[in-house]
Amino acid sequence: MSKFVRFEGVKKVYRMGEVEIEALRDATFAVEKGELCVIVGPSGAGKTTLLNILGGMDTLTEGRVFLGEEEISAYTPKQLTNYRRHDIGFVFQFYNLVPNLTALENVELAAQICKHPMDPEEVLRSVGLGERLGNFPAQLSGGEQQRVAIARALAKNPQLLLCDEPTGALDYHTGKSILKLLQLMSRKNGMTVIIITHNSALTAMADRVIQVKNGTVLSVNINDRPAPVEEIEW
Amino acid sequence: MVKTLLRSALREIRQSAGRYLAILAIVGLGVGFFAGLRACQPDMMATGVKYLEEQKLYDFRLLSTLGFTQEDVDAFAAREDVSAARGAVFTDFLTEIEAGTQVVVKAHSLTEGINLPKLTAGRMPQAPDECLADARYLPESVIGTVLSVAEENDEDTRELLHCGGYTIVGLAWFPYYLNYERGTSSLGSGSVAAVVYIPEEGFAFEAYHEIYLSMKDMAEPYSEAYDLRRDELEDGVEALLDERAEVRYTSIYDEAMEEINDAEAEISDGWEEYHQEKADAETELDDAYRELTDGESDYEQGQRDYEQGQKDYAQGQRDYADGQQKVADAQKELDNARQEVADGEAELADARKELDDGWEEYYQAKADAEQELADALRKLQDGEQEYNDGLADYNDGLEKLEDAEAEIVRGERELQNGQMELNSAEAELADAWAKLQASRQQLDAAGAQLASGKAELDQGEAEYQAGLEAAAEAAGIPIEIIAQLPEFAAARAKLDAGWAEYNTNLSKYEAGEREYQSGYAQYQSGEAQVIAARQELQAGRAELERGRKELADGKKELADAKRQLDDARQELDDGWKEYNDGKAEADRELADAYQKLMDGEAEYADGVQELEDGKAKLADGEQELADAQKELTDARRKLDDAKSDLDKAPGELADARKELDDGWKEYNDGRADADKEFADAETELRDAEDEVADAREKLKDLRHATTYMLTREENTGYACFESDTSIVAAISVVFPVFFFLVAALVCMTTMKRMVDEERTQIGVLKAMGYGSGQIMSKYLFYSGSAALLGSAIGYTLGVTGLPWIIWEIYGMIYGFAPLEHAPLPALVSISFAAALLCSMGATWLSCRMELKRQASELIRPKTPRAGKRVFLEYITPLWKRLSFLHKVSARNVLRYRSRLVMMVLGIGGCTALLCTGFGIRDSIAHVADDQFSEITLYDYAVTFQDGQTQSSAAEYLERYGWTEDDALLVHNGSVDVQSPEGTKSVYLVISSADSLEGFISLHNEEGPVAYPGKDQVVLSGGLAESLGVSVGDTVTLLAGKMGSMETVVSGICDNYVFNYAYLSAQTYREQLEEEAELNTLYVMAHEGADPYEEGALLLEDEDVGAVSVNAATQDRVDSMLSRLDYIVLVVVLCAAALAFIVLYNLTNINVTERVREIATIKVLGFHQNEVAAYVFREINILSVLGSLVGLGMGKALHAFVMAQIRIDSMTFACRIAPLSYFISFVMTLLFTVIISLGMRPRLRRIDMAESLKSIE
Repeated sequence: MSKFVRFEGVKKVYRMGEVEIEALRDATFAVEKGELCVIVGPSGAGKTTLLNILGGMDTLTEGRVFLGEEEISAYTPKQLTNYRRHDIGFVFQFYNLVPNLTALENVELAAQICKHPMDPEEVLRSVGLGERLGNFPAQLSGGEQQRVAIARALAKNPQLLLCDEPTGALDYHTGKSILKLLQLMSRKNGMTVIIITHNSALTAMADRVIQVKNGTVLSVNINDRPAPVEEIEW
Repeated sequence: MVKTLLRSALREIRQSAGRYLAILAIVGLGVGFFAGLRACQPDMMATGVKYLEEQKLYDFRLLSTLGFTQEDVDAFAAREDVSAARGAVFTDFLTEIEAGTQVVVKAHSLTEGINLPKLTAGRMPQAPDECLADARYLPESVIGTVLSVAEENDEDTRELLHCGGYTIVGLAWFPYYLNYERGTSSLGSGSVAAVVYIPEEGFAFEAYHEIYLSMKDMAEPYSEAYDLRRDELEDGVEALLDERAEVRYTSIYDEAMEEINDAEAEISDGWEEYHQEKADAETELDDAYRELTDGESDYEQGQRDYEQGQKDYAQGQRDYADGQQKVADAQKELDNARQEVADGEAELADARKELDDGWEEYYQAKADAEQELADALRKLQDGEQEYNDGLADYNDGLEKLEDAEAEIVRGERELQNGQMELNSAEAELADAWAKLQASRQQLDAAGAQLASGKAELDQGEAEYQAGLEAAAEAAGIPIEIIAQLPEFAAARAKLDAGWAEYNTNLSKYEAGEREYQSGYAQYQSGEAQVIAARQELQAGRAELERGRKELADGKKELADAKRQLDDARQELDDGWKEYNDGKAEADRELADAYQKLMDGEAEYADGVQELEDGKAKLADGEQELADAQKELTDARRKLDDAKSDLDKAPGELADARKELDDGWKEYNDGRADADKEFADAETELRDAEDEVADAREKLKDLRHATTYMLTREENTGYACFESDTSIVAAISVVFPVFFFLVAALVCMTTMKRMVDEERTQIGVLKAMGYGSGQIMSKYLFYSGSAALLGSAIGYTLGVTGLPWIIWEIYGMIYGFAPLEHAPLPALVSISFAAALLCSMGATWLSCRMELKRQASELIRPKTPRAGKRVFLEYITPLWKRLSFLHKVSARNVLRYRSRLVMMVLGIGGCTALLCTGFGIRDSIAHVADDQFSEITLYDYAVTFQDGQTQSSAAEYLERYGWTEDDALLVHNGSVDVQSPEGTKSVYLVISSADSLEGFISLHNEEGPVAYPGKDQVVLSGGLAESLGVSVGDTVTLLAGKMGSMETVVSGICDNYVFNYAYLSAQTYREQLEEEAELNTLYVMAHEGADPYEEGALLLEDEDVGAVSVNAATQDRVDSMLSRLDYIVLVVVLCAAALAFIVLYNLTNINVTERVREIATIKVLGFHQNEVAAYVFREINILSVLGSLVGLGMGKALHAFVMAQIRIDSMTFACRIAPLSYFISFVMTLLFTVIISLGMRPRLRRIDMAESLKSIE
């Protein structure tokens, strides 16, 4: 399998007035297509920076980032927008649904702007929300909202699904079901999924585990036998 | 408030400056508008009051038909309650302010201490012929213009304005004319162009026309106290007025009566005197006539005598002249003779002298000639001698030459001989040389033979010797022995023989050599001889050559000498000839001269004899002449005596004639004068009699005075000012309420949003034990301080700016002084209180709910507000068709109701204001257009000096080529229309044809209005409205002194400029028992003609008093109304401010509230434009909605405002043009677009990382 996502010596420095903060340095790793990758590390380790860069939401200071053959790190802001629009699916910790749109409409919101969207209804059905299409976010539970968010991300038919602490705001069981959904999507659709979390328990389910600490990649481990989500405990 | 909270609040203000400013601005706008409009009326009133008090407007104005005397004025001044009383005069007169345009000017006398003009330029008048002019109507450039009283003014006016012309020295506002109205005039077109004030001395008058009173203890103008006090004083003043009027009547009557009586007495005296004097004059004249006739006959006798004397004298004169002639002739003859004798003597003397000169000359000439001839002869002889010498020399030369020539020939011959000899010597020499050469060669060859023979012998010798030796050696015998051997002896012999031969040869050779040597020496001497001969020959040849040359020169010389000699010969011959000729001529000449001289001598002797005879004759003639002269002298004396007597006679005669003529002239003049004088005297006396009769008649008619006591209320300007200023007060209610409402809404939404944002913080504070009040105070401080600051700024700007603008607009009516600011403590408090109430009240309302909650609840993030289905969703076909970006907008729009209201009110208000502003323009700007294109259709009005009858008008029409369709004769005057609700002075129009068809269109919205019939009147709309009358009501028309008419309103017609009442001639005639004076002609200009030019042409007609062109009026009205553009500008600016504040606020809230949502859709990959559309669509929808609502609101607001704006003499149509609606709508949307564009960078700055943050 080819290296689908590649980070090569990535460095990110934030400048806050006089102070320069090195959020990421010499981050080098790769993720293969169809893998479920977990990036794990404590708060402040640089996970979010990494995610921002990979998600096209931020630029980097040094190094190069590739998705497939494309060099993301060389994109212009406009190209980055298109990149987010067509190639990336994003799942937020706090779902970030538009409160004024129903579940279905939230998915449509994403679907309508990309080239080859999936049918929003179908996607929602596939995440198990076939019955809640017309509900507003406020009328859904947290887990359901996150499912809508995942459906919204998937509906764009992205090359890469980025999840930022997808279970962070959920309870244990709901969190598990969400993870299961993500694992299923990866396995069934062969989608590359990158999950960012501080919960190391999640590493068990990953094909590849990348440990981040103090702004650098500590280790990259291949997990030959990822455990099913049901077996994970935290 | 706790210090920390205060700090927090201040920091909050800094961080959310935009929001804070929005509150500040909207409150400022509300307060500014409210306070500004509210302040207008008091400010204007204060300005008016100050002006009137400073300029001391009269309290009472008294008028009397008989006028007032100084005593009357003094009588009023003497009253205790009067502080000043001044008599004054006034009149209207025609003049020209701009050259060529005659206008009516109203002149008043200046009064001391009352009705003071307020000088704006120039100075006060000092001389009687100076005046102050109207600052309202005239530009500063008129200062210096002389207003001359036009010829067209009637005599009374010209007498009254006795200076004839008045120089404008200054411009001033006059308190008597507070607004723009200057009243009407009976002169010209009836409109007064300007007012002037002239010093009292500038008028020549018998009685004052009016008295102005200034009263003591009067309250402020327009106050109730003033009215009360005035009412109190009225009776006293009126009583005195009546009293004085009676006194005035009596005094006038008595004075007149006395005058009449005196006049009558004088007339009868006059008659008596007349008759007496006439008789005396007659007698005197007769005496004079007689005397003159006598003088005439005496004169004729004298003349005859004179003529006879003249004849006698002439005869004597002629005789004398003859005698004189004769004597003169004799004298002349004698003179001639004497002259002849004198001439003869002179001639003789001359002849003698001539002769003597001749003789002298002759002798001189003779001597000269002889001398000359002798000289010539000597010279000739000398020449002859010279010639002969020359000739001898020449002959010698010739001889010598011939000798030389012979010598040369000889020399030549010798040379030839020499040469020949030389040649033979040379040939000999050459032969000798050749012989020498041959012998030489022989010698040399012999020499060589000798040498070789010798060498052979030497060889032989040597060989012999050697052979000897060798043999000696070999034989060893001595040589000499050997030599004796035979062989050697033969050899010896042979050798010796050789030697012998050799010696012979040698001596032979040597002899040859000696021979050669002598031959050579011979040759050399021969050669030298030849060379010497050759040289000699050469020298001889050169000498010969020289001789030959010399010979040639000699020949030439001789030829020259020969030529010279020939010339000399010729000369000599000529000299001889000349000499001989000269001698002959001299002899001849001398002989002639001698002969002539001798003849002269003979002549001279004859002359002497003749002269002697002449002299004797002359002496006789002289004696005769002396006798004749004596005789003549006697005759002369006699004649002179006669002459002197005659000369004196004509002078005497002329004197006599002149005396007689003078006498006659005197006599005739005297007669004529006397006749004329008596005739005049008679006429005078009869006139006087008539006058007295008239006066008596008039006096009988003298009426008692009608008096009027007028107060300030009767002064148009004073009365209008009060009502006009109250207009703004009415408007000031609606606008501010509206602004305050929007301000409250802005505060409310803003504060609500703020409280929402700081929910957690509030919760924490609560949890820490702060009370609700303390927490609330932060927000109250926030909004309260904004409101307070806003109020302060708004109030300041509003109170100073708005009244100023309004006053500027009112400037077209008043504008007599810069605006005063009245202190308005109540307004300040009300404004600030309202502002604070709005802002803090709104804050309190929005905080109250939140603060009621429990701390724990507050600390938790607020549950997001549930999405709600809006009614639109139930219209499925429509909803499905909406993209959900539109769906989101639709839901958002309807989600927050207070924002919706704020938006619709704010945006709507903006549109409404714009509509109103443009609407005011639409309503007002077209007044002039509408009036003059729809109602007043004629082009210009001609006002006659005097009223016209139908027939005189017809003649006039014909004169200018008009038909009845082109011109209409009307009465145009002014009348007061009275209804229960008030009185209005308006224009009265009475058509001579009972119709105005084609000249003035009487119509209203419902259609045409019929011309009034008997006892009916048609009123213009504005007039009817202000009098509160409608069709069918009865109104009274007061026509001044003529009386009044009761009429029923039969129709109300549209009219925008001025107020009109239309009446039929019949009503006028019947009710006033008089014909309406037809003084005006409405004219349609000829096709293609310029009304101004036609009008100017008509003005030259002496019957025409004035021409007023409607186009000019239209221009004037237009320019007056153009100042209303200020209103539009103010309104547009306010509308823009309102729109900006509301839109900014809403957008700001929308964006901050949805930062997370916006960040999320950015992460989803929305482009900038899509994000902007997502956010602003909602605002755009609200803007459109608000604008649409605003259009409706605008119509209502406009109607309200127009109802408040009332300008006397103008009526406005209340309307808004469709274009104005459209512009208002578009402008509002434009504001929205501008705000959207302004907010875009803020959207761009929203960080996507916001989406990752937890909900606070």
